[in-house]
Amino acid sequence: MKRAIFRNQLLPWLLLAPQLVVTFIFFLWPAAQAGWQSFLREDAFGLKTTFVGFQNYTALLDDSQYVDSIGVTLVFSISVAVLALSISLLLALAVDRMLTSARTYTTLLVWPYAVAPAIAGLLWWFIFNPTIGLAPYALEVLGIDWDHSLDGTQSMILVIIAATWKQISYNFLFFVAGLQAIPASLREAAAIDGAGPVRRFWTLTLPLLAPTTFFLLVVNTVYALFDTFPVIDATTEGGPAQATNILVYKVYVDGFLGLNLGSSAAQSVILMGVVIVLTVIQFRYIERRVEY
Amino acid sequence: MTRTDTFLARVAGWMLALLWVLPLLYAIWAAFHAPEFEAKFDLTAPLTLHNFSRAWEQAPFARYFLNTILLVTMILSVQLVLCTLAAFAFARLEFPGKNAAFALVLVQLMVTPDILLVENYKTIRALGLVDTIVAIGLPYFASGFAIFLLRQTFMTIPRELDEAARVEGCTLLGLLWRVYVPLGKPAMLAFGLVSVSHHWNNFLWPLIITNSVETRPLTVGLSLFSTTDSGTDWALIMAATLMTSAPLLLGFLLFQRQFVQSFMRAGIK
Repeated sequence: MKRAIFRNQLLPWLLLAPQLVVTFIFFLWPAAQAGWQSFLREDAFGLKTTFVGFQNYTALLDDSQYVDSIGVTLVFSISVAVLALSISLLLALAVDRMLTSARTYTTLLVWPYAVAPAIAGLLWWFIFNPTIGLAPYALEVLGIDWDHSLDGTQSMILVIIAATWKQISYNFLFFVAGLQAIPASLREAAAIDGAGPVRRFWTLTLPLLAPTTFFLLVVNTVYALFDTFPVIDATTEGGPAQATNILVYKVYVDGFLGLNLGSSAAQSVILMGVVIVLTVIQFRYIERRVEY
Repeated sequence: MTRTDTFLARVAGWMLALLWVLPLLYAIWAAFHAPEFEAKFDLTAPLTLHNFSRAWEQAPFARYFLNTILLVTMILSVQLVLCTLAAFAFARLEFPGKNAAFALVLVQLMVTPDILLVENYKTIRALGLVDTIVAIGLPYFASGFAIFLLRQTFMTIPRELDEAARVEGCTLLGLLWRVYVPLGKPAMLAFGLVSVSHHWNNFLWPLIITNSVETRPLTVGLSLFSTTDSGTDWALIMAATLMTSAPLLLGFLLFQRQFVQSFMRAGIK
């Protein structure tokens, strides 16, 4: 009897062990390491390490480059999230009205998801290339001189377009599902009551889509903050003059190219904090949805 | 709604969709035509496969393909085994510490290894695995997403089935293999599609951890190819780009249904 209990208590942990080992080595341990490293400072030759408390953090907040990077990240993330959500909602509303051709249409729209972010960056860099790209050629007709390697605003526009383009497919799928979940009887009732398409959208469709929209808002924010490295790397490399140097790109540049380990660790810790906050928001929401 | 109204909405929808895939269409155009037609859209321009053969010769794409295929296969198989075991424990067993362990899975669902680059690099170096294909996959072996998805599926399997198999004298592994794995197949397929497309396209971690042709996956190889090897030969770069994305683009065409379902089912990346 005693043996049976022992076996029963050990079994779950045996099943979880491989998973927990990987999580420990590649998540908990490095997170703790980053936390510890963020309180240390190495001298220029990497010979001596001293404990400096919160100095790496205060130095970051005093560093105008880091503060600029926060601003750049905010502009970038908000633009990407808002654009990606609104454009994909428009596309989903369009598909909702055409039952016959919806399949081809969906395939077309989902394709960008299959394209690697690095390749998406490359594609848009090509299209906006000042010497041979199509877009600058078209913009010249309108009297706009395009060179994103010199103009910070233009370079920001380029990375926003590339990052948004890649994310639309994902949002689109969720919006289509959300729209299909709205009962037809509700829409008909609204139509009979004399509500036009625009009014129906604002008073009926949009409120009913609110859960989907909120979920996507968090996902898109996480995407813009953390998964856009390849897009930046392939298009602007953070330039010109840090104009598109978002936080995730800066961690990489400082840690691997600049070898400033203490500062890079402090940046990682800050980013992790942001992720954890977003995770909590996300799961609060999922729990609520499950309860329905 | 009037007929013209529907018609207009339809046209607008298609215009928007076309605008959206334009970059891809442009890449296809550039890849299948001689370089002089890069920005000259003449529908009678002769099609050519020359760019593809040139790209294939100029960089070791065959090797990159092999690396990526090995990588995604390895990651997916390990993930499925580890996560099936863990998901079963979370779905069917009661034990102290279960909630804490599951909370860890949920946090891990959101934190990508990309944030802990420097620390993970140190760990891999300490393990002596820098510049190996295993090292590219290791941090992703424990997938919070897979556990979450499989746990949900396993919880819907009737307990009677589980008990009947035990009464018949099925061992635990037998039970998993004969009851849970077959019934969890749709969820596994869905997860497989997401995992393969994610790791086929993953860039930052492979970029850091690899530095030779023998280990580099397609994304990193292509990035090197487009920045250093070929200068501004766009027809060539676009051909290489299409070539490396083709398997996934085809996969999306074939499995689009499952892809869409897998998104809906889980609600999380």
